[in-house]
Amino acid sequence: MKRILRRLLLVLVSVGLIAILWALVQKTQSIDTTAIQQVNSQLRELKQVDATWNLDILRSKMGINKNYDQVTTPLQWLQKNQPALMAAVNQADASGIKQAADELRAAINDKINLVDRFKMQNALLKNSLRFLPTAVGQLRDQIVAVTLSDASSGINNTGQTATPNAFSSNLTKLEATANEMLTELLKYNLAPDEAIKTRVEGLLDNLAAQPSTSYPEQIQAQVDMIVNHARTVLKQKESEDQVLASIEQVPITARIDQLAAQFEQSFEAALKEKEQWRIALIAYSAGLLLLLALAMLAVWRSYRSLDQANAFLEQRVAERTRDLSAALANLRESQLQLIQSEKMASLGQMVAGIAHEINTPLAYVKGGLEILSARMEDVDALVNETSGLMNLMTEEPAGDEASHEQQLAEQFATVQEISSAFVETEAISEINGLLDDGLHGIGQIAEIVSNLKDFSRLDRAKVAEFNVNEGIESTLKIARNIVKHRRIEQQLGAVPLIMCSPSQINQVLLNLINNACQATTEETGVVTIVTRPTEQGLAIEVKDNGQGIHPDHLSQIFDPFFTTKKVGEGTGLGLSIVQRIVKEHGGKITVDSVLGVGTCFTVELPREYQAHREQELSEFNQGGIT
Amino acid sequence: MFTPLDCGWGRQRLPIFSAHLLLGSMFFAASVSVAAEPLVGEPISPLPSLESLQLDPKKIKLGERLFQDTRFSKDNSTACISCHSLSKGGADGRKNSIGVRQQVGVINAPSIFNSGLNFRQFWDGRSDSLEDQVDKVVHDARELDMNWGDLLTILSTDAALVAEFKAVYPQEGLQATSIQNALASYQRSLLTPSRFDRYLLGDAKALEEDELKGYQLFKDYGCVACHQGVNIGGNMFQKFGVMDDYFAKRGGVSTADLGRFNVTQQEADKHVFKVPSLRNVALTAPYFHDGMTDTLDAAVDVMFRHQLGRTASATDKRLIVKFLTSLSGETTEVKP
Repeated sequence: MKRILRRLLLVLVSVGLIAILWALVQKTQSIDTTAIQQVNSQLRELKQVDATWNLDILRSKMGINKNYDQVTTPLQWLQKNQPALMAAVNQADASGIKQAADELRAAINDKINLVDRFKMQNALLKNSLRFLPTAVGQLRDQIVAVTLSDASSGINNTGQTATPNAFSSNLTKLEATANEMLTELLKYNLAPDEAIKTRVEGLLDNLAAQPSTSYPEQIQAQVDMIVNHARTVLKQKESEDQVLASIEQVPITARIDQLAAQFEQSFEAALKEKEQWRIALIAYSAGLLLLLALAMLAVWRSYRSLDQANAFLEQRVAERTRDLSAALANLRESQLQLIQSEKMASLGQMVAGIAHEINTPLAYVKGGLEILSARMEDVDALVNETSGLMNLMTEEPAGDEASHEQQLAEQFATVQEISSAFVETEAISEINGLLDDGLHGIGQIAEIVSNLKDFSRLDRAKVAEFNVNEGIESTLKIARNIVKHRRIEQQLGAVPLIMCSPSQINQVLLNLINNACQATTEETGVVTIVTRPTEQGLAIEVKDNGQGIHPDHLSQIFDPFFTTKKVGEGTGLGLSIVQRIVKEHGGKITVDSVLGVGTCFTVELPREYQAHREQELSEFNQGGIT
Repeated sequence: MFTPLDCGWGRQRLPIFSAHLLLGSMFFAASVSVAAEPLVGEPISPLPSLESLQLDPKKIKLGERLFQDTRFSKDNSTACISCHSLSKGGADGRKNSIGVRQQVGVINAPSIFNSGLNFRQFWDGRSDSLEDQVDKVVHDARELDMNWGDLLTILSTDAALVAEFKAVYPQEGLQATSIQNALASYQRSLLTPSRFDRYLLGDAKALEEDELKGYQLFKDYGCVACHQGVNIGGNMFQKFGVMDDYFAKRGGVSTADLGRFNVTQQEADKHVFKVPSLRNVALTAPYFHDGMTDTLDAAVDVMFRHQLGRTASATDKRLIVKFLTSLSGETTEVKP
């Protein structure tokens, strides 16, 4: 759990570090200079447009431009370019820029309105200026016509009472005033001057003033028209000049510069910010690299210590292996010694039994022979006496016959006495009996030796065809001093011959039978030995009706050195060796035991001897009986 | 794009040279057919060619469709074309137009023709662009009385239209802005080249003698001071009644009569209107913002009196009217 948390934490920290790096990289993404360039170029263009605009206004004023289309083209430019510019402004997200843009827009709107006004005034001014000379010319023509008709008719066609001279001089004065006014007005138009304007206004007042004698209607209308147009010129000229001055004052260029400066400033600020972010990124990257380097150092260190530990471990393992091999060798050696000692112990037991078995016949053979030896004195006396008799009878009496005779009779009596004693004591039959006993005893001893040979099979090959039933019989004979006090029941089946090491199998049987006997008492002990064929080979069961094996011990009984017997009674190796032998033969040994009822060991052996075991077997045997 | 440097083999030069020759001869032929030089120094300029405007034919087509679409009005009765009939000089021939729910408008409908060349839209110039003009007409309670939300809801049920918008305006699709642009594109395409344009382009025979004389008088009397430029007007404002008060004589001054004042709220802008284009003027009676003048002769009279402050002979006025008739588009049905 803690480990998972730690891993999670590590992953989170890593993700966090990378996220910060990513954010920093994002922050330092190079600024899109195209946007600022676009804005700059647009503002430059606007400046150009404005300059051209001013020029066109001037041209319109001077009459060089024949129409106002040129003066309206900036509107089209604005219509086309304003959205992009406004987008850039809105995107800039800087109050300075927005304010500068608003101011620029206000200036442009001012100028547009002023230009609209200029066009209105200029059109009117142009028309009036253009018309006035014509109008004054028309007035002159009208006056000439009136004067001529007046002169020819002599009648004031207006029916005024004034004298024709006065009327004519009035008209002449009117014409002169109109001419003067026109001149002054044109002068004023060229160079607006308050003094001229006052003079023109004075002349216009004169013209407009009702003369003492009214003009002919046509002339009056013409005068009115001239005054109207002249006043228009004065008015429009003045306001046109004002408008033009205002237009000049509209600070478009300044506003453009201001906006451009704001953009530049914000761009530089952005650049500066980026620069700071970049420094931060570099610092952060350096930090990360350092961290990485530290991590790598740590990894390298731990690898190195691991490596050292590894080398040390290898050394340790090698040492341990060496120790262990030595221990194993020791163990094997001691195991072999143990096996040897167990064998010797078994052998000792066996020898003790066999010695006992041999001792009995040996005792009475010895006794017989001792009796025989004692009898041999009588035989010897008989032979000696008989031999003396024989000599007396056959030799010439050296002395006296009587003595000889007497000697002979004495000798004869002695032989007779001895011989009758022989007969009387049935010495011969006794001797024969003793000899028979002796021979029987020796025969018994010979049989025991023969059984011993059968049991150990020392005279046979190590691995040979073997009849287990015969093995059981010879084992029972060898173990006779153990089994003689138990009831042995044999249920030997028709088992096949098996390939095995007979001496080892006999050792197994001896061990099991020995155990079974020891588990039972002399009075009630019954040991049942069963053999039966199995699919693979055969099975041997050794059952007893003893006290049984405690369940706690059941799992340990095949362990080496495990024994429940008193110290000195068993080595604890018996069953262990039994199991080993059975396993080496490719068979298996099982045990069933019920406390108070008895124990049954079952040994199953295959028909064929496991060839690959030969090596170990021979090794085993080397420490064995050989 | 092909220069002799680009190809080093003489064998390949021949077709390139012949291509140059072919192109050259085409240009030569073109210049011959137009004949002579366009006039210079005239206060009026000929109409630009439709091609020079570089409009998207698909947008024009879409705009044309919308132009006739009555779904643009609240009661499904009125389309743009209701007041801007192509067969009536781009207007409707009425004193005041009839809008949604049969409402009578407050001002005379200006011609839709050549409106793209006007520096501002509406009599009072309250729109800077045709797009904005569309927006204002759509919302005007007397004209279409619509709003974009409802209109888009209605139009979006028209799958074919939606698909067409998606095709023509891949980024926007059917939106207020795209509708405005389509309609504006269509209106910009409505140019009406006239005989007078041909004259300006150098075709001396395009105008009759009287018309030519009329043109001269038009310039001499100063009509051209305001009615100049490519649209013969439409590029400036002017006060109605500079030399003589028009409204005092007419009486019954309405809000609409205040003109640009309604936009700027400046005293100087009272009775100031956009100088209308005189193109197709013979086809767009009645005249002036109030539609109170029925004939062109009368309109010329009004102009002389109130704007020029001059008198002119009947002959001169007749000749001027003659000239004005030469400004009508030669094709009534204007198609992109």
